[in-house]
Amino acid sequence: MAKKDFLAHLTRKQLLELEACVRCGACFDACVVQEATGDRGISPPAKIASYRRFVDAVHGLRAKLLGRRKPAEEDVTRFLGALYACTTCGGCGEVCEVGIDTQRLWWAMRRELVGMGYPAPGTLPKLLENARRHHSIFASPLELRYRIWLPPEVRPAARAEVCYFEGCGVAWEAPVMAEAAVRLLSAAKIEFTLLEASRAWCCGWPLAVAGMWELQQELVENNISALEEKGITTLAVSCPCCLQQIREVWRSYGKLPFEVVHITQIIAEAVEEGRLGFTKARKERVTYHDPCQLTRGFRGPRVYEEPRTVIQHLPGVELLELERQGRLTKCCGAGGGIRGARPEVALEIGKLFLRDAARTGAETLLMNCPACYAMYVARRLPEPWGREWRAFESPVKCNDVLQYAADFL
Amino acid sequence: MLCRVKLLEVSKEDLEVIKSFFFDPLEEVETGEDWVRLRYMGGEQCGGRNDFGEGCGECRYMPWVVRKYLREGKYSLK
Repeated sequence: MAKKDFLAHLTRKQLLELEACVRCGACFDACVVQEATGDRGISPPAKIASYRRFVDAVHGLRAKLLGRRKPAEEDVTRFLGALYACTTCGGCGEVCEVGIDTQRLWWAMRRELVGMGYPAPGTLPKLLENARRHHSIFASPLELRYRIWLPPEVRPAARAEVCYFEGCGVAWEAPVMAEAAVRLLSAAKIEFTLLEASRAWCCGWPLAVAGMWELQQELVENNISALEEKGITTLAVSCPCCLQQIREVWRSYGKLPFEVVHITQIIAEAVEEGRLGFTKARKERVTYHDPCQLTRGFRGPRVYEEPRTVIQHLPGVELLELERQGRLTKCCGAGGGIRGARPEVALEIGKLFLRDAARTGAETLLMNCPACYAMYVARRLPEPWGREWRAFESPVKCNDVLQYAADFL
Repeated sequence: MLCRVKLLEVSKEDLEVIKSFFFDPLEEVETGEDWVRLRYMGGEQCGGRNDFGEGCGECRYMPWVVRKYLREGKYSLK
């Protein structure tokens, strides 16, 4: 065993957090995995208790007196199953009575175990393999990205104050999100630029969240230097995970010479100031799902009002709220690599989520994240769960909020 | 809706882009010299009007590079 096993990537605060969990169970109701499976063995307190046992076995008092004891392989394997049966949405941390930042804790644990040689489960290692080859988590050349979604009538400027960064998840899993975003930017007469396709690398979030950190520095430094060369003042992203990664991880590499915002913030501002208007009308009831990474898990203002502002300006559209929203939003079940690691759990979360959406009385569920889009619009899950998921019927149609708004131009 | 539209007369450049987009093994894209048969999105097979009631040319599920062929009528639902 290496000297720092189980500790290398945990901060002092996180070590205290391992001791702080009082197993009160407040997190059970906030956890979509708990709702879908009811399996307390994979609940947040169970994961913390297991990890604490590993740390004690290797670094505790008994280990100091009697020698270190390597945890049994089957215990670590069982723990890994629990650790990755999690969307890392951070919902548990929002309601934690003792303030444990669970989201960061799960990330650190994953990083630690991958660092110790336990591979991330399911299809997750493929993401790293793709990133090594293509600098994105998808097995497609970066150079093609704008040719997928950039409509010919929209002309980005060579240089502008605003740079739009769709993120590889949007480019390959939800390209219509990017298409809608640039159509709305153009309609609002907001000049924007794009990074050169081959320089717009993965932000690093999907790899970090899966515990695979080996390319982080390379990815982050490339993106920051490419953006610096552009001389921009504002980076507008479509992907909530990119937003969290830039606000939390990129900043740890130094002060960023630009402000980062979510694209709906820019669009909402244009709507409110009357620079962007919607002329078409459609009588429809919609509900809006707050993506986890827009409402929790980062420093800075939450993106809560802005998407609602856009929706409320759409003629004829009535917004009905989901029971859980804002910082207490439910994860849609597509985050944290769970679709690749534990698709059967993602499937159950998805079914419950669509039932929640139907209960609002809305005809359309609007989303704002490429992972949500891939899960609910494209209905992507590994087989055989994908087949079951695609066949699951819901009275609620799903769409991206900006694509929906662009239809009213 | 599951799209199984066959795009026709697809240029080499677009074929490359479309193949890169429909990379997911679930989507089982079939390609020929100048055509590509998509298999995209969830649910039952679309018969030419998606679950928003839109015809292929307006299909909001498809990115611009695909919709271009749909709008020009260069497709077959068979």
